[in-house]
Amino acid sequence: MHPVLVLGSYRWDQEWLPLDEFEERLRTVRGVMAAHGWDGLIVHGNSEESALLTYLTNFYPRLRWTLALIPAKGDMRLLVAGATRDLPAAAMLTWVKDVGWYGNADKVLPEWLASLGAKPKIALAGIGAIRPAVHEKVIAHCKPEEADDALLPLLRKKRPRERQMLRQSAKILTDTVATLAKDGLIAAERRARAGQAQDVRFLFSLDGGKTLKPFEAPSDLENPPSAAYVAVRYLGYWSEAFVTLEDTPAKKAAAAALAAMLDVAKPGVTGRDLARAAAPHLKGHTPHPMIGARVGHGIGLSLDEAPVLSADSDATLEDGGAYSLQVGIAGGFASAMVMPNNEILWRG
Amino acid sequence: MAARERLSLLNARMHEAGLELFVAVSTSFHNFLDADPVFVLTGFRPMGECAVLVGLNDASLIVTPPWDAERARQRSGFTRVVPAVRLGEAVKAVAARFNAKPGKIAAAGASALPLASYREVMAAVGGKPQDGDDMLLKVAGIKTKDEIDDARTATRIAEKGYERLLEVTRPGMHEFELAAELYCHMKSLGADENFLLMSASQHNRAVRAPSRRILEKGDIILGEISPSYNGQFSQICRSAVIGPATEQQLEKFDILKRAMAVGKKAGAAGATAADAARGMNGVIGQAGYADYCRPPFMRVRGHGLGNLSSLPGDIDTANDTTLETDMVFVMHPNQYFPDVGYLLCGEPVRVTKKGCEALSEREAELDSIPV
Repeated sequence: MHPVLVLGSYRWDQEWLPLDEFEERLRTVRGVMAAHGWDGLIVHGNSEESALLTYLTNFYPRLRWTLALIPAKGDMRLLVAGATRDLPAAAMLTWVKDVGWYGNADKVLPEWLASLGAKPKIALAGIGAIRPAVHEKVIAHCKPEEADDALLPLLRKKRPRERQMLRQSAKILTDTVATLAKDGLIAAERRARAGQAQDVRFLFSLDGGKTLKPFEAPSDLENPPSAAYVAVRYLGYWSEAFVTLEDTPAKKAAAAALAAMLDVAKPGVTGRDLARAAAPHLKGHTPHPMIGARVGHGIGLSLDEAPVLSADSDATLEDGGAYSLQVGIAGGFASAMVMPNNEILWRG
Repeated sequence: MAARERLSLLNARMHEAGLELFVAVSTSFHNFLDADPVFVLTGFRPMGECAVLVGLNDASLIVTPPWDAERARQRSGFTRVVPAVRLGEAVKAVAARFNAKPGKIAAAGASALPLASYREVMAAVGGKPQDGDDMLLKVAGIKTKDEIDDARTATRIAEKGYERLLEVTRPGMHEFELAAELYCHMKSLGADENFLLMSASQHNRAVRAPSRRILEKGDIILGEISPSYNGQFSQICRSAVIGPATEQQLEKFDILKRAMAVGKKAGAAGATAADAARGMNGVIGQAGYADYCRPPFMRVRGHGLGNLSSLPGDIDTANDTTLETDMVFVMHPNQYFPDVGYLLCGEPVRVTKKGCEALSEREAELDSIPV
């Protein structure tokens, strides 16, 4: 369940992600802009989904939305929605120096467009979660081309520093899952948040893994969960786990299926191949409704990145990608997070 | 249950307005300041895009992801729960069963959907339905006894959270560590959500989300502590000094306490939100800070609380919404002072004929944390 406020630790950490990292990312994006002839790029992100915005700026909108205005040459600007009193705190989350107020968009956007020359060619990215009113605000001033198909693939191949962020995220995940198994939900959440998780989310089962639910009432804490889904975010980067906390035959079967998937997981392997490897271990078991035919997906600045890997898909694992692999059957889960060269960040 | 009462009220309003179908949509991205239309009418907090389709004699709840339908059935008590993969497709199929005439359909919450889903849902209900947001807000604007009880419970959880802050804070802690402790403590007491803004500085410019800053002696910790219980939010606004408070800090905080007292009196049923805001601004202005009664030195003097109806909206001089008995909102004359920085002082209140009743057991003081 998405929280009303992501309140965990978040900052621009210049030790992990220094300025040169963002300069390189911006150069890559500008290369795509040049290839398409775009004079300016508007990147949208909001508290629900901000992968591309965060990739370029490190900025994460805790509330509402933000637009990044990126000219082909020159400095980037951010327009942050929210109260003006919050702008100084927002400026601490990004390397971008010009952090302005979205409330001035009707003034700033035409000025910015005019600065790009006569009849500039504009593109808009980060459209997946954009709200109608924000989209209308943009198209009132220009007629942008949609840029997600051109830009989102850049996020699939993890850069060296991104891989390190994923490792850190998975470390917090590992601690969190271990604490969940030993001391329960509240202790696990405390561990994650005190470990500098930016966000942490749980679904858990009180019915032997049949259904997974969010925390709703104190009665949810009376009995230890039998299974759980845990997602942890660190400095923008997600890791996730499906775990069964009781020893059951289904858990063993899921673990064996996962091991078989990990044995074949390498660049070029399809979701169909992974499912085929898992299948012999899952005979007689019913797929869990939460996972169905899926066997995994990409992960990084979004919890659910492309590609979706499933038994009926030819999407492949790619060199440089990071993936969450999962097996879910009635009464048993197993999952792993993997990176290139078979580096396993989490397995359980 | 309160959601059932709200659904009946909505039916009555639909009859009055000549509507045949009301489509209430949730994005599942819950907002502290906005209503979640599906939660308002069902008591179910969704994890994915969902909708309730309300006809004159019947209602259906559409749930994504489909595997969450059983929880939806249990929480809502609805007999017609439709598991769906894509909201737009399901809305189209279910809406067809209601056979509502064009022009007799209203929708609430749709504008919060992502663009692609918004377009699908709009197309599924025949283009441009009437705007039902106001109707939905009014249905839930007056709290039932159960909701007021939930608001009191949420407030008590917030106060226990603040007590925890006073107990565990020590110089050397990171802000995020303190926030983690408070958040988890309140969750263990039953907070199903929490809009917890908590930060500290020697001179605060505003309250913000917790950072890696290390707490020091002389910091003022600001906390907008906002747990939800049964989906009903509350909020207390508190300020605490690590170490002894200065005379100047106490003097400025006293202005806010007086503003709060005036605001509560001005916020009687029949007055407007603007009346309450003007009352608070008057006290702060008389103390010499009239120029600071505007952004960025403050935001608003309070606001409604999300998930359920966000009425009466912002407590602001431009808001002429009439306050009605049993509305619940947070009143907070939070204010930046050029000499001591930003201070928080606020309580959740219930509107009565005589003024606003604070739901908190102990109203805000500028507290000191011994070091």
